[in-house]
Amino acid sequence: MGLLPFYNEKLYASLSTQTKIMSDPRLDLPQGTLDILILKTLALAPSHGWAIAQRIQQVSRDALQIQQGSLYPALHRLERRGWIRSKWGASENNRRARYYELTSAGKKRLAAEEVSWGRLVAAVSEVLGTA
Amino acid sequence: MFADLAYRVAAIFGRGRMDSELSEELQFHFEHQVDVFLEQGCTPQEARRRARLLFGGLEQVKDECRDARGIAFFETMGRDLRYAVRLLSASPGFAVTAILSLALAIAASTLAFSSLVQAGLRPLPVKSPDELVFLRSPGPHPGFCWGAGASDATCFSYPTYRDLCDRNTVFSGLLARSNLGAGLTFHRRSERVSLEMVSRNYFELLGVEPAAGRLFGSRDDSRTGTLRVAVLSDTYWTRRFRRDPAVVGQRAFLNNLPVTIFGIAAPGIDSLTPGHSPDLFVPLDLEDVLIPGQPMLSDRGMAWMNIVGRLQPGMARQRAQAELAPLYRQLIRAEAANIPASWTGRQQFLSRRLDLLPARRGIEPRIVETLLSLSGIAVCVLLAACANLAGLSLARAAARQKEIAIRVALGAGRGRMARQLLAEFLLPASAGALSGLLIAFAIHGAIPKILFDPERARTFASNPGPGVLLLAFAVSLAAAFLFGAAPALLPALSAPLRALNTATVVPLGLSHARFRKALVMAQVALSAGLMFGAFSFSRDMFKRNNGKPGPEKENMIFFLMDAGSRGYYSPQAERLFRRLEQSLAALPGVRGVGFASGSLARFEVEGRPLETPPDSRVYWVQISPGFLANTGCLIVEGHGVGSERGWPPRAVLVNENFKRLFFDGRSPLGKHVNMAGGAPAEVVGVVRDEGSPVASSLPSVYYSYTGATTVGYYVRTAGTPELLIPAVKALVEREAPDVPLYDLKTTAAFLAENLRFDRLMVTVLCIFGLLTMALAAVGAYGVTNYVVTRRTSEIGLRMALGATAVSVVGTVMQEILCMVGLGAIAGLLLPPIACAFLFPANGPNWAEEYPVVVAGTLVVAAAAALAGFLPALRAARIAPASALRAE
Repeated sequence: MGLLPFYNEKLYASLSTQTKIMSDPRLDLPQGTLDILILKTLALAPSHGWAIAQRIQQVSRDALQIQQGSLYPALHRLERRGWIRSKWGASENNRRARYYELTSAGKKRLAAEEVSWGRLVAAVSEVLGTA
Repeated sequence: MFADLAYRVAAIFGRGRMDSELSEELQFHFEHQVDVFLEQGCTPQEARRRARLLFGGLEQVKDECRDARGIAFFETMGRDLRYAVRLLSASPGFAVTAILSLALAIAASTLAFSSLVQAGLRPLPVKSPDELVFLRSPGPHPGFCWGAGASDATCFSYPTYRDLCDRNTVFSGLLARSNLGAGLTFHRRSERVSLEMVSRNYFELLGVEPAAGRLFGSRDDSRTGTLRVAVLSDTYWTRRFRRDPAVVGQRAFLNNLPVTIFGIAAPGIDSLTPGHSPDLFVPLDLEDVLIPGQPMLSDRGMAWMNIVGRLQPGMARQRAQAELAPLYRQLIRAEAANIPASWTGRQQFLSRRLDLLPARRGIEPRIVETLLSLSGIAVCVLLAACANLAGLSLARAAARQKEIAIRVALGAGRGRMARQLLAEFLLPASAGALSGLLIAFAIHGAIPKILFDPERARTFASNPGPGVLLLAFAVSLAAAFLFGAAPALLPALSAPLRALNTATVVPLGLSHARFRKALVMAQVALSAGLMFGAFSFSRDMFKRNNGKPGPEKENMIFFLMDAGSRGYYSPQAERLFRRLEQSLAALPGVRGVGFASGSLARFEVEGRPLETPPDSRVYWVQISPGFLANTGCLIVEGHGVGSERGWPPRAVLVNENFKRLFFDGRSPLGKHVNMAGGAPAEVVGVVRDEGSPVASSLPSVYYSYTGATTVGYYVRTAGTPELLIPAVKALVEREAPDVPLYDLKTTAAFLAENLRFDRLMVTVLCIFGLLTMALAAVGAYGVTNYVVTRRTSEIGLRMALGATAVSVVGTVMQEILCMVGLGAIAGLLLPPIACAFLFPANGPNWAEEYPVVVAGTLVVAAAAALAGFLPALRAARIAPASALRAE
């Protein structure tokens, strides 16, 4: 038993930089879905990285758990593309935190993504016969 | 897109700040995670541990963020460049040579290309230049042929031009042009100008607009007072009159002819012969009043003008040529009726045909041909430099082959590796290219000055503009990449894993060493070819120069006095010229003075038919009494003539050339010759060609001065002639303040100017030849070095088994000599092929040239072998034990 926790932790760590692939009830995120989740979250209110992750987890009732290894590169990528912008502000517990908010280009992008996501889901459901 | 770029740039420059912000951001997240675990009841220590585990590698996340920000590309590029610098500085000698040779080669080719584009590839700035054709008719011509800036085959007589104008059915118009020098006097200031003699329809046909005033046209006539007019070129207007519009309508004197300045041609309108740039445009029909006594307009034997035609709309060049052929045959036949049947060139003359060639870039530009061959040579040098660059990148790729293979095996992207190798190539390439461009920019203004004499350089539109320079530069750089980098990069990237086993790059299916040897061979061959070019060109030049200039020609000053342009008549002019002669002779340091005036005229020789083709005209030179004795001319036949007293009236002397051509080498003494229409004169002496200051390549007749108003003075000096020039100038200006004096210089300077172009070609070929020789030597050094390094263990083994230093050097040198020898053989075969390509018309005589070729090739081969000898020596010093351990 002495070695086993260590082994488990190693395994856990090796998986932790990726979006969680865990057994039920958590889900595997399809490629590119993270971006739309971030944009949607930010559309409600500007927030910092931690809050974004928490909010996605809450709203999906723990089905989606975003790891920071995916979250932060995604945030920086979105900022480079001009869909979100960042500025420093004070967090709830009065700490300095980086807040992200949606730009107008980001809003357009989100709208477009929502439409195409809807069509994708509908199409996939159609094929699976669950519509 | 722009925002993206701005973000990346900001990311690069604010990298430090961004990194600390990133750390802070991730720290914030981390502490929240710790708080969560604390709330779940962990100890603080346990909470931090679990948070860290959940986090994974902090640095990894940071790295991914940097990637996402898009600065990774620049960061790795910077790293690649730093790495490349380190690698290059490990072998600075080779790197510097590669960079330097590439710089010189790129400068040379950039300049050659941009001059080419500017001189000949730009269409003429006239209306629909594609409709223009020039006429060309190769073959012998019975009479005088004067190239007017182009080859003899493009010269026609004025009557022929008139006939073609009147009777053709294919042109919407034909124009004629020629060039002449004349004295222009404006407001009592005189200077020598170059005239473009053009038919009156010149500007109409080309569709040229005036920049000011009017241009003459075909409807001018005497009633409107527009007959004696001249049009200034834009460059001359700028240079002489500072673009003063008031000059239009004023009167100037050309030689002695009053003309009205009618207008100014639009900028950019120069001669139709590329490289020539006239000061004034003058109607062709003024020739007989401009140069009295030489009626060239009515003479079918005088071919002195080029003809350019504008094809009727929709008329194809080939069709026009076919339709024109019968007319031209008629003209030729009519002309041949006046030629004696004995003329040997008769059949060839009768079979002359008329070609129409596109004139959108001007008339048969010799300068374009020259620049084309210069560009060809520059390309050769560029290729030789590229070969070294290829050798350099190949050596790098080979040295890193295993390392690359390991990196690829460990997961390095192919693109990433390509970027790194590319950085290694781009560093020397761009360093070389940039310095090449700087050199080109620095000296491009000097190119026309080098190519032409100062008079013409002044007017050759000298600025190709940065666009053309940059284009040429880009082409050179692309060539450098294509031939310098591609052969090394492609194989290294295409099969990196195979390299793990084979340890050598295999470009183009050759082994690495063999490929590099092939490059050196090519360099040796190229350089031998260029050396040969320089040798044979300079020999050709000396041949044309009729051997060496004699001492008489060396210590001599020449200048031209144009009294006619100031209204002097013969008796006045003669008094002035004689007085000047005496004063000049009295100057300290002057050994003798004479003056002469020459003109081309027909002549008759007693007992021979009137027309004596191929050239019925000789140079008639009227000379002052003391001319022959004072300028050092030798009288080889005829005793006692040509002394200070002169010679009997109605007597002439001929030169050796004349004797050879018209008396078949027999003595002409006592025979009679006469200038066409004049009374016969007895030949009393023969003047030696060598040492005569007057053009000795023409058959000449010397006779007593009879009152020409434009004469050339020949002042023979005791010492260095240059020192006397100021004194001569001051004296002439004092004695004859109102008569313009031109071209005051030493005859040596005259000769040098005539040979200027040939000298330039020799210099360029020599420089390029030496450059490629240096490149070949560097290449040979690099290859030998590589061979020695590769065979280190083998050599060590041999030496351990008792091989001597001499035999080791011998083995290595064997390999090198074999390579150099093959290159030399290729070098022997290359020049004939290259010359056939570059000078298709007048290729050199190979039986004569081969000793020179062999000598040049040997020099190059020796240089390359010597360069290979140094690393071979290193092989001999290899310590067997350490060499064996190295593997």
